[in-house]
Amino acid sequence: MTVESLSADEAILALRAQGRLDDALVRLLDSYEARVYRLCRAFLRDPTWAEDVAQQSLIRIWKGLPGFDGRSALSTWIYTIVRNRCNTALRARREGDAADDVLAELADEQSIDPASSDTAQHMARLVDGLPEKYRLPVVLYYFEDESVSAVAERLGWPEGTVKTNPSRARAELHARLKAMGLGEWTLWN
Amino acid sequence: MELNNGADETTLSTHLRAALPAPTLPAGFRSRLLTRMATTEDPAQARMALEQDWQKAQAALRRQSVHLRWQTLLWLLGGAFAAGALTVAIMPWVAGHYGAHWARWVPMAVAGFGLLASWVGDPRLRRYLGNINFFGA
Repeated sequence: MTVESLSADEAILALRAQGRLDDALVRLLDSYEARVYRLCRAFLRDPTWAEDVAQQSLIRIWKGLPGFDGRSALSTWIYTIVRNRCNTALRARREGDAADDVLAELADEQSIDPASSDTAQHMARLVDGLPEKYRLPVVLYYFEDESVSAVAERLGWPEGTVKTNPSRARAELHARLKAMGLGEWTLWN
Repeated sequence: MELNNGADETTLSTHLRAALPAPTLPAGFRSRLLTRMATTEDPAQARMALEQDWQKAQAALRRQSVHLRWQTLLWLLGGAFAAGALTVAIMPWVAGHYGAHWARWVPMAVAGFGLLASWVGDPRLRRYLGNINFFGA
């Protein structure tokens, strides 16, 4: 059996086991670096911070690969490492402070002008103000090209939860917009 | 709270899609990553290596300790046998030349000398004997 006939994950493991480290690393990065970075962006928001933690995660993944025991899918193992790294980074930086900053910005919601050209930015700020259990699946849902199963795998959540939380998040967003007098979508178009 | 209708849902989705574009990898991400991989030692790996070194050192110490115990035991057995053999060999000569009185004192003096030598050589024995209160005060 050739490496080419294997799935991406199997090829990574096979190449690593054969000692073809450069090939294995390239396959790993081709398959996962963008997804790992997007997951870090969803968790951490800040691009520079996300890059730093994504790189830490990928280094950890690469160095830990020989110890991967195959009890779960490779992707599940990888996303678990990334989530742990993100949560550690968030704890280290006292996420509460950052959240307070976002909430302080959102306190000025009345200043949002639907007629302005920054509609997307305003919407992104509103999403930022959502509780994490709603924000994360919503953000990843759009980052991951609207695939519920992909989001569930990234977050390690059941698919049902991933389906339910974004619906609640959208309802919450709509409620907030209405409270600001911006519930009429024609204002945004 | 639910959205009023499918149109609201669609419009909100459109706005969310526009607000949350999938972030692309920063330019130079991979080259920076590869540089970092070449220069950074992962703390978890370093910890694992240290733990392995520590376990190896522990195993070596354990082996050495067992070896020393066996060596000590063999020295003791050999010493006891040699002392017994010596006593059997020289006691008749000592009794013949110096009398039975000396035949009692010589083994006690030799045993005393042995204890003194051990006391000087072995700090544990020195500690143990040092803790004994010979005067009962």
